[in-house]
Amino acid sequence: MFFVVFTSASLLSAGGCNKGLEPPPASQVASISGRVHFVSPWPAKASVHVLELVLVQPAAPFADSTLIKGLNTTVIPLASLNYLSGDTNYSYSGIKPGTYNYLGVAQLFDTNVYRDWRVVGFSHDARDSAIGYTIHAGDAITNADVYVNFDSLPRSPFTK
Amino acid sequence: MRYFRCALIAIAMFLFASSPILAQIRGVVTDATDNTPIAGARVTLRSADGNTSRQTHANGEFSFETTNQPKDVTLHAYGYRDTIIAADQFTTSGEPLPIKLELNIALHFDVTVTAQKKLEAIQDVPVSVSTVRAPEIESRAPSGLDNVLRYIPGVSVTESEVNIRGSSGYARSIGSRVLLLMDGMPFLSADNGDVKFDALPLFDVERVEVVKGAGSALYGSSALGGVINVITRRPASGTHVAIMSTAGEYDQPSYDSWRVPGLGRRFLDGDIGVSSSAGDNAALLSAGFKRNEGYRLGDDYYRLHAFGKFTHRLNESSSLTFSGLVANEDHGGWLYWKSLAQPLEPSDSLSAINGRIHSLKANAFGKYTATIGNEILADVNVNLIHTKFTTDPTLPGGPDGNHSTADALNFETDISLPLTVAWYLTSGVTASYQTVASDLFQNHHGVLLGLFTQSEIKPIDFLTITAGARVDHIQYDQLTSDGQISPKLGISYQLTPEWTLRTSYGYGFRAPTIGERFTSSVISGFTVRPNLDLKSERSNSWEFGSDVSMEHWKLDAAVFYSTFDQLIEPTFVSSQGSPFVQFENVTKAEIFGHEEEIEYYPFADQSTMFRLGYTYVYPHDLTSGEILKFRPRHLLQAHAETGFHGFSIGSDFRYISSYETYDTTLAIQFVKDGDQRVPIYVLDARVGYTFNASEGWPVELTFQISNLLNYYYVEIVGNMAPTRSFSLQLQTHF
Repeated sequence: MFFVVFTSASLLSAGGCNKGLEPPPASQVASISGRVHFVSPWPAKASVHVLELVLVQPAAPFADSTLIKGLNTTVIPLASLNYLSGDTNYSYSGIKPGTYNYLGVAQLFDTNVYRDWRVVGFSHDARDSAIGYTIHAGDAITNADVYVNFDSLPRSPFTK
Repeated sequence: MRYFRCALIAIAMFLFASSPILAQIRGVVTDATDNTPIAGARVTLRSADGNTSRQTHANGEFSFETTNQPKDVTLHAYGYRDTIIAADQFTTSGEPLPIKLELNIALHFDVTVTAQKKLEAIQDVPVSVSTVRAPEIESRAPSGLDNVLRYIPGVSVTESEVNIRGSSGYARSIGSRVLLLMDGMPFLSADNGDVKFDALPLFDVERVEVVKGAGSALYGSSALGGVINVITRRPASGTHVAIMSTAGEYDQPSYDSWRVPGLGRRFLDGDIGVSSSAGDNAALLSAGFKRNEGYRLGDDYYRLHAFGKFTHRLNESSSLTFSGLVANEDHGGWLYWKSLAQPLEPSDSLSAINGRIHSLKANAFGKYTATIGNEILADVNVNLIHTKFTTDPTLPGGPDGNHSTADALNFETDISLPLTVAWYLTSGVTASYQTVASDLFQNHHGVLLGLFTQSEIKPIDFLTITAGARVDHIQYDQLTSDGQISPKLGISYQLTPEWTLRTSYGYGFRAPTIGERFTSSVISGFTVRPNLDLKSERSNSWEFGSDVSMEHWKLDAAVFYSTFDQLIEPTFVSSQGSPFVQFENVTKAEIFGHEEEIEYYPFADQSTMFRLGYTYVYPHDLTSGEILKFRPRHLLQAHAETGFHGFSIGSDFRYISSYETYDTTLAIQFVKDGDQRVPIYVLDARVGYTFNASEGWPVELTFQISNLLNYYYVEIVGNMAPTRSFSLQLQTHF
């Protein structure tokens, strides 16, 4: 009896059916997937502090401190890429609907996280122009491939 | 000196020869319920010429040789009924008489060795102390000691950081503001100064004591918010074997989108221990493994661990204890989730890059205890803590990733003696040498020296005044040294045998760890720079409390107030061109609150118990004017257990209110959905049955559900806490 009272009180105080955290409604998020292709030899490891696949809202390539200050809001980090990794598939869900100017791979080539970034590859069309994405709730974007060429960086700024 | 010794021996031999021994009184004192030896029990022999007192040794034994006609022997141990045995009960052959002491149920006495560095009833000490005993610890064995602490009133745990009454938030497991002791000696790593919960020999823990409030006056650095002492069990008399094994599985999350295909989710652990004693020697040895596939992808681990303890009685008044442990673990390098849409998958984005972590923790401990005369207790303690971790190479076949090897050699000697009938003195000296070799922290060493003294004075009956102070000297490499003076004062007044009032003041400090001072590295793209000017954190704690122990219930209530200065936090420094992360003294704070704990035993045999604790904390950041980060305001913990006809049923519940403020500069920016948090409601339940309860080989089978409500919550940003799990535990001993 005593134990029943204890458990009941605990359950009641726990708010009954309250399950705590829950996933964001599917209708509010979207997903994107594709493959990152490395089409050139890799540079020295000392110049590849971080290599990150990012989906970016601001104009290309990066304004000062955009990458850091805008992380998770206007710059969505999708995947980190290991040094010397081969072509890599990626898949990411949980993207907030919005218009993104381009999908690219950003390299932190030195230690200043505000300044030392450059774009080394991006998702582009046949005319070498960046592909922009307008993502709606529930969208599932596939085949969003990115081509990384350390020897021939995209011209900057690159536009659609 | 040599001649002096010879003269003493000659005199002793003369006295021995001229005073024939009339009787030899020997006994071994054990707990009547579990037959474990009771050390430190006071034994008084009454004879024609007066009284002589001794204390029992670690194996529970005592002995007297008397030349006078003995009358009887009185045994007194905290928590047990006083027992008087007539002298003629003792054998003339000198064989020790087995004596079993019954628990003093009426008073619910519990004892502490941590609060005052000597054995005392909790009701007699002027600070708040909570204890957890072995059965309660074993019931949570699958999840570790951190989960034991989570159900102690006023205590919460975030990852490996223990928060006592708001003293700690979350600082990425660097620099614990609570000092963890194992058998009275420091058990924090030398590099990060963090608690290695996974190294603690849970299978061999007898009890855990938590002293709340600043405690640097006795323990020095890190006792800023409190002290936790993990006390390992003593080898039982005779030869015993104990086995415990748990197998279980985490439940699938309720939401399909959270499920991770192919995730194992199972866990299995096993421990076996052997304990034996013969003559003056006693030993225990245990070993075990833990395999946990994890409830999250990439968060699995495999662990092997062993623990051993050996005690040797040198003579009637001195003994040696040695113990050692080793734990080897291979753990997934989980840092934080991908997002709330995929909370059970690791982020593969910026700053979450981490390979598997391979770690080794080891501890060697030695203690010499002596009773000088009948009243003076002295001991010498030494322990060496070794911690090492490496992460996987970034490239296959390449050099290791981040790595650190750290050693801390700690020494303490103290002496306790009554100066007068009403004045008890405890004093000691401590020294610690720390050395670290790491790619993150580079190579450094530190020296910490301490000198402490404490007086316990009873000017009148029922009133105890405790006053003490400690001086510490800290130096790392050739840097300017730091010095701290830590006073304490406590008053305990027993209004009635059942009702005690207490008040206390304590000072606490925490010297910056080697990790906080010297980290110089680029970690996941962020430059972390050393700060050689880092100062020690400081705290002042005041408390007023009351304790009432009746036949069926016990109530403890306390109000507390603490101030904190120079609190250290990792800070994003961006004002000097190239931005970097550095540990800095940034925060001044005050915390006040109150805490109530009630225990209720409806039946005289204590087979049923209910405990409820509530703590309110107001953690005010005086620098920003906000609530301190990662501190909950409300904690409610409940524990219930009952047993009948071989069955046992138990349940635990805890509620922790949601953090009001959190780290927005670092953690949240890089952890998607890092601002997601909810109040915590966790209910655990278990039911067990003991077969052969009355036989010599009892087997206990327990079915346990952890997080019964399958409630989803985070304790730190981007880290979903364990989902519901089911497990079956088997325990036996013979």
